[in-house]
Amino acid sequence: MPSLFARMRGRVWKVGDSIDTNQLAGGGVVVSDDPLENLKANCLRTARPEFPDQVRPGDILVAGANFGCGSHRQTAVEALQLCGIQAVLAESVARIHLRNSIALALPTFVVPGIAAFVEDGQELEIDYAGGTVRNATAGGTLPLGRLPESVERIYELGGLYPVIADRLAREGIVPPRGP
Amino acid sequence: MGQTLAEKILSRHNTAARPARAGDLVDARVDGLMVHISWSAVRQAYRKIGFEDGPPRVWDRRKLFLMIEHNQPPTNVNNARANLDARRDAERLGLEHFYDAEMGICHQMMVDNGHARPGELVVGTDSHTCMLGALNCAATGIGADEAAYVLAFGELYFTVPQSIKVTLRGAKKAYPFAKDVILYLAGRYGDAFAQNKSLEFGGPFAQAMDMSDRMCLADHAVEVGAKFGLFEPGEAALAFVRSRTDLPFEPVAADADADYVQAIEVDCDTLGFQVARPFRFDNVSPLEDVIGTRIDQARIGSCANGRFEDIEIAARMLRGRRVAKGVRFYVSPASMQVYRQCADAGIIGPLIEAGVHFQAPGCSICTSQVVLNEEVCISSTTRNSRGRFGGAPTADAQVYLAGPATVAAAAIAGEIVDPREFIDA
Repeated sequence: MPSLFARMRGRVWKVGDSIDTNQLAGGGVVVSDDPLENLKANCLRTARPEFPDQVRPGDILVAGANFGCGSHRQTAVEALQLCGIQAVLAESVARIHLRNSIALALPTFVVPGIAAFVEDGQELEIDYAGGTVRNATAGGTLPLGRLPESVERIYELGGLYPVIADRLAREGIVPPRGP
Repeated sequence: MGQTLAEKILSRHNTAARPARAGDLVDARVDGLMVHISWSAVRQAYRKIGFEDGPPRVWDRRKLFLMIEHNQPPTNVNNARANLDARRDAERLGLEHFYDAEMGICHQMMVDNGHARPGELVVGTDSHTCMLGALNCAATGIGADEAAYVLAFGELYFTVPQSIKVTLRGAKKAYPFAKDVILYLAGRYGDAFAQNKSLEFGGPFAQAMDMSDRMCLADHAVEVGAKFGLFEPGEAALAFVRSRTDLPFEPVAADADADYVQAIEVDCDTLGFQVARPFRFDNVSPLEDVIGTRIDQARIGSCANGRFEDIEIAARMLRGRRVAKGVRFYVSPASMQVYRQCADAGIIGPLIEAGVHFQAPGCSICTSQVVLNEEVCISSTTRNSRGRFGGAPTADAQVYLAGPATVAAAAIAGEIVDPREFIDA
């Protein structure tokens, strides 16, 4: 998993306000016996029908206000990861979805003004260490706020499960060794 | 400066044993963790670490409430197998509170069984965990990997939220009204106006609300983005909890000089019925604007509006009347205890007689039961986003959200009408 501090560049997909987790991971279309394939095939289909088929690894999702509202399901984050989305930038993010994005280490940033800053299909460059988002196609930058150190640490470890593993190990609880 | 309800409860649970202020990032001890059918996702988090057979331990076997509900009994092999895993884990971990494949909704089962108490901090793997705020319990939804963390350590990080004071004025009504209040707030201020914040409900109308209506309001805090939806305890809530648990608890009240980022007043005497049109919770109109809309389905159920009072109003309105021809009116009690309450009150028979499809308790009335693109549904459930009832292939299905009186009236008339036509004096 790449570091939060490494620069990210990618093509932008835009969606509007109040995209709920049901639209990220609501199911409905069945393409396979593999639940992960179905999760991917339904991701954002109600908002952007072409998204699941045309999204490419490394793309960046730009959303309006209240992104990821609704249900607690963390498959909403997993669906974006399965689609290859490397980062999400939104005007605002619903709290459970933001926490799930941290827990699963999908870089997700609240960037006021982002919706009007970039057009669909343009390229964005995210420089978290430098605190900026640059529109690599049209020019211009927006400031990118710093996350709390404890949240940065979760991202750097690759999610919350390594934090659990570390803390359990310090208490002497380790997984059974494989063959 | 005094403290809000959220600040007080998070101060009390702060592992750093310091008073917590809005904006602080704290690690807090939790009093309870509710995990529902997403137990399989929690197990998956442990599998990533290398614990193939589920969590190696639980921080306190009395404080994990494992409720395998939502859609029971299982109708496919995967769900049945997930139930089996949970059953074995509950046994291995020695869980004191395991609800094995019980039909119902976790939040209602939490309050039915006295698992949420005033002054506590509770987290759960479901966005509507905030419903417990009706009992003066700071409660909020988390994801499965966060639940895996809480499960091991009994702690979680929180940003102490800013608070919004919502004062409700007016006299108690003869029908459930909380849905109309929250829809009005969403319509007026938007579906994210309380993002990351704590809503504190007070005022004479709030104090006079029955527990069912309080739970509806607290439940829907998440629909306007809130972390908590909290009530001051009050005698009704204390009596409700005491009748369900012998465990001690310590309610909290906000200080008179607590700091709020926003204060909102609602006059419930002059506020009329509200309806959310497709496809957003905040796409709200006064009832008058949607009168005459033909419907195919009507639904009363969910953690928002599936309690006895929500079903009883339908029974009262249907007395001597029938569900309109061509309308499917589904009613699902929120838990087995609510089901029992309806049975004891003798309202199930008359509802069935009047043409209602009376269902078993559970979440499917609010999640998986399909509304087709060709159909219109009016529902007292929690959400109406695109594809809520059937996923992507039903993105154009029309779902209106309203309180149970409005839903029942539409079921009788076959179209949206003023429920007061059917509420007999």
